[in-house]
Amino acid sequence: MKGRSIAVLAILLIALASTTSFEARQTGIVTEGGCGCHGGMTPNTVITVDGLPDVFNASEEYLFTLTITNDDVPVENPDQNGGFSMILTGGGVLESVPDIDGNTATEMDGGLTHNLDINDRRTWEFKWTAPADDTAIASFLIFGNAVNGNGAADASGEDQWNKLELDVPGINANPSAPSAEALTILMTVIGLALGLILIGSMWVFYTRNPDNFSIGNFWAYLKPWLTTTDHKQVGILYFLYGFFFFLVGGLLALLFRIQLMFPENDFLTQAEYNSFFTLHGTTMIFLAAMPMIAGFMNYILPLQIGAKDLAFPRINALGFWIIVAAAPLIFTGVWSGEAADITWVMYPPYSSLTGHAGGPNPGTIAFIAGIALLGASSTLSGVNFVTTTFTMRAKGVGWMKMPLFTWSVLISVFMLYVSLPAFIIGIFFLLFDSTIGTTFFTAGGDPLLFQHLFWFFGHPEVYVVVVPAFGIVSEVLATSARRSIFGYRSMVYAMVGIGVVGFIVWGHHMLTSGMSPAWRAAFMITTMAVAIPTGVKIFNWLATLWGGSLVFKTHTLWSLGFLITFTLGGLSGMFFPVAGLDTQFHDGYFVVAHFHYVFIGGIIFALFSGIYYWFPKVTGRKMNETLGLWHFIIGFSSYNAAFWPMHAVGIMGMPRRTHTYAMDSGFAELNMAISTFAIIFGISQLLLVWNIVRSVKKGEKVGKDPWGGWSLEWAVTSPPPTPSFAVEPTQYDANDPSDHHETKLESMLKAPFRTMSSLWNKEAKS
Amino acid sequence: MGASRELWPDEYTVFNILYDKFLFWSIVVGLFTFAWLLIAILRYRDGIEPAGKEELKVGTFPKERHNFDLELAWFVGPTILVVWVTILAFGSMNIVWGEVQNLQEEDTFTVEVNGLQWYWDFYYQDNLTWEDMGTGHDVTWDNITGLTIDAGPGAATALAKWSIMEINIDDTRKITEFSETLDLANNTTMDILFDKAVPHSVEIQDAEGNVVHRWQHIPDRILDDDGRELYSYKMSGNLIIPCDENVLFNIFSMNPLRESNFDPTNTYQGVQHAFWLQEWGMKEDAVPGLDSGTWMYVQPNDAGVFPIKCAEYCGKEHSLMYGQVEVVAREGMTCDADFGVYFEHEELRQ
Repeated sequence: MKGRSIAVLAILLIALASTTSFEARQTGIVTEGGCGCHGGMTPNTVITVDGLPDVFNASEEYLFTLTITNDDVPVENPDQNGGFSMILTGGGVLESVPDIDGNTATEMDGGLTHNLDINDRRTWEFKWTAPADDTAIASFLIFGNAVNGNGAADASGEDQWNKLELDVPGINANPSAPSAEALTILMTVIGLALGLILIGSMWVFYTRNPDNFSIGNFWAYLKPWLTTTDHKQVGILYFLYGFFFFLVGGLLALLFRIQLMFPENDFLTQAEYNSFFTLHGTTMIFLAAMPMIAGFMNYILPLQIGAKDLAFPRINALGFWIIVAAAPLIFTGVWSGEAADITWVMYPPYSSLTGHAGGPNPGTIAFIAGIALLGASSTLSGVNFVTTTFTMRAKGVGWMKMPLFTWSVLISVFMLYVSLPAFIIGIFFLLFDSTIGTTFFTAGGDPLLFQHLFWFFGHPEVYVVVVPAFGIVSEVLATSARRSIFGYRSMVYAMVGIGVVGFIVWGHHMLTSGMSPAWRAAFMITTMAVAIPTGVKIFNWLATLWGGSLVFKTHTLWSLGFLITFTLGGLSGMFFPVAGLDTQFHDGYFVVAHFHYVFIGGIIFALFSGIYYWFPKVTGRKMNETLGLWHFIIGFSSYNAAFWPMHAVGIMGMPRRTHTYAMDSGFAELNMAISTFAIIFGISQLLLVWNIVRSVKKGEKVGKDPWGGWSLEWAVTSPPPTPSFAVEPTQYDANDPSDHHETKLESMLKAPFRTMSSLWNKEAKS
Repeated sequence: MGASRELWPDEYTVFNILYDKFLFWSIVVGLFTFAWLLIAILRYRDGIEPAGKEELKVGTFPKERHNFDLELAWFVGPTILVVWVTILAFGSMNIVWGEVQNLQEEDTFTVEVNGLQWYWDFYYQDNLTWEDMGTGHDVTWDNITGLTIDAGPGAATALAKWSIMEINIDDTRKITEFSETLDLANNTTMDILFDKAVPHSVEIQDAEGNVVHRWQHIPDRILDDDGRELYSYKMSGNLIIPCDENVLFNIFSMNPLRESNFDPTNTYQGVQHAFWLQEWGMKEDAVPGLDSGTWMYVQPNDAGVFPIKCAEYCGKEHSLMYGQVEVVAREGMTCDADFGVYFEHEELRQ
């Protein structure tokens, strides 16, 4: 057994080490500004400078030559061969050395440039008088243009240019220290983080029993958490992991909300902003929402169906430890400013151009590898839930007798299974494109293919996380109204319906990518159809409340909040498939508003609800209701105040993923409001953190069933024993099958099927 | 960059009409749902109506409550609404996307849009001669008398630019540009004849050097016998389009047919962009490697300057990839015509 673990670890290490170059590379920024170059920028044009020193002495004069070579641009016109622009910053005087005819270069703002007299060559001579201050660093920015002189300007684009940046420090200058290798930084950060977590948990252990503290005891306490295969402990680990990254993702969001507070702000650089929103999106979906839901699945599902544990406990633990490895890969480079900046949708060809001047940061490759690991983890944990639900249900837990949360998990895992292969294929092709030079999505390949693969996964992925949220809300609302859910069967059918329809709508993410109008129409219809099963669910929840006896606990409040915001998010979703509206809203802030209403208002609110609801089961103590009420009031109102104005800036035309916006664009006031309330929303989550930390120790103690729920998880003690059920429980059924009175319409509709089945039975009998 | 579009414009564009209709139905559904929710949680809260309370026993699947008629009602109800809004949405399909094919076949004013990292290039495929309206100045440039400037008060100088095209024996062409500054106090004519195959422009400036009046001729693009492009007029950053007619955009990312640095051994062929004209609520992606590009069209009704933005994340300077589109009147015309299927479409008016 040990040998196998070592082998797995070794393979993981080798895979990590062989993932290509992590070192930070210089990336140039190409603009036409300051160059006036024509044609295209290519590395074929080589600019060489001969005669400049490595370090300069104060006020010394240096003669140097600038040469452009490019064999691909032949000399057609002897008068027009090449041109240059040279910009000097950091001091000194730059002069042009007259040629035989006495022609010199033209002076321009901050440097020299070519003119008609000296265009007939590709070599020029200059004199540079170094600055008197020998601690300065002089920087040369040189654009060189190889021109064929056919006069066609660049209409045919045969001219080629390039640029060269050159720093000459003074002899006493202290050039900035070379940046550390990103891999070193990454390893340091992982080490630090592990150390902090170790010290933190040691402190927690110490406070439990200060008198009896020793390293040996601590290890005995820690080891079970690291090696656990118990579904409850793995569930708690999943949840804590997800909650930690929920806070990290929120912090990233607050950082770029500060950037967007003011027009033309420069709190973050463009590169930082781009990586932060990329990491925010990926973190929130893959590292926060999915693990938190996986935590609930792990803890609650086996209890609800009366199983002792999951079917494959070891695979379950492996699934968790893989995402622990994925997180540092995804965050690679964030400390050295080289983190992935490819957005959470990772569209190629941009994302596969690592190393190219116009391509993404080097951290991108590790980022993509991390995403691939997440796919592996989801597959592993998914197989567990399907098997467990199919084979380990206790006596009396029939298919149509399962709690709705269990149903929602089953449907969500099935959706994940159908959608994930497309995504994994896309991710691996992307990884191959950026590392070993395949061209699946770049030149010669098809960038749109990735978009199809991604959204075939990406849209169901939204339902993969939102369907378990439906399950949580169904449990909470029914229990809080102290009655059974209205329309249990139609709830199950509606979730299955969402699961099926969710697979044929992905094209609405690509409505503006030149798709044929017929396909656009098809995706328009399917997307609209999503509203039907969703509507059924919302009306069923409302009918559950109607006539009940609703108790307003914190988990009830969050579920009611879910009903409001999810309905709003669903309504704004109806705007997108419409031709004339999508062309304005696509990739604008209206989309941002919509999916935050669905993700936060839908998933996160339901998860909050689930935290307050199942916390007593996990810890044996209730959370503080007063703190919970404040968390709800502040969180819910600031959330709406933050995200509602995003609809307005979206209509006005603010594109998403934009580093800043102009003073006169009219977005400033609304963005100020969004940022302010977003910060309040972020801070209000500290109430939840404090509530959890405090209630673990000081919360009111509870018995088996504090809220009056019916499903089997309330039949065990709080916290549940291990294994969860000593004896396999039996679920009884309050429904007397003969007691069911059909409505007139129902019996009319069912009559033909009944006749047919009776005919069939007769035939079978005879 | 320019200002954003208005949040509540009173103009009837496709976007506004559809947005109003969808907003109306959203409010109807929202009010219905929230009223139901509010009444339910107020009226049936704990302690008010204990009648609905059931005995839920742990470990016992509770008595199912359902009502087939009601459930059918809220399956059929949303379905009818969804069918209705889908019909509403279909009205805009043809106007927004369907017309493009007809416009390609017609002789529509076409501009090729080329997205690069991080700027837009515009190549004109059709000619456009335009002049500022209502400035009190008038420029005439024809192929009989040459350039005549009828300058109003305040004009000091005029900068005239023109070109001469030489056609070589192998059908390659060379265009040489010329320019001359006229002192309008002494000289308001120039005997350079107008040639519609090459670009011309005149800018009238006042004494401080501010441009007070512009006149420009953008020529047709020139193709050789094989249909290969020999010349097209290019602009960066600013796009000029005529009002009161269809303007068709053919959108590329680093047009593979145009960039000579396209090299099959080099994997760089540009990245994804999206060309967004928010004034008309239209955008379309620029997809790398598509030989025929993507297409969209707008119908500008009024003169003005509006922003162009890139909507698809395209790299480090994505947020700086903006430009301006200027809607102008063709020479001798105004923007007063009540033009635009786009704005006045019957199907949407219903």
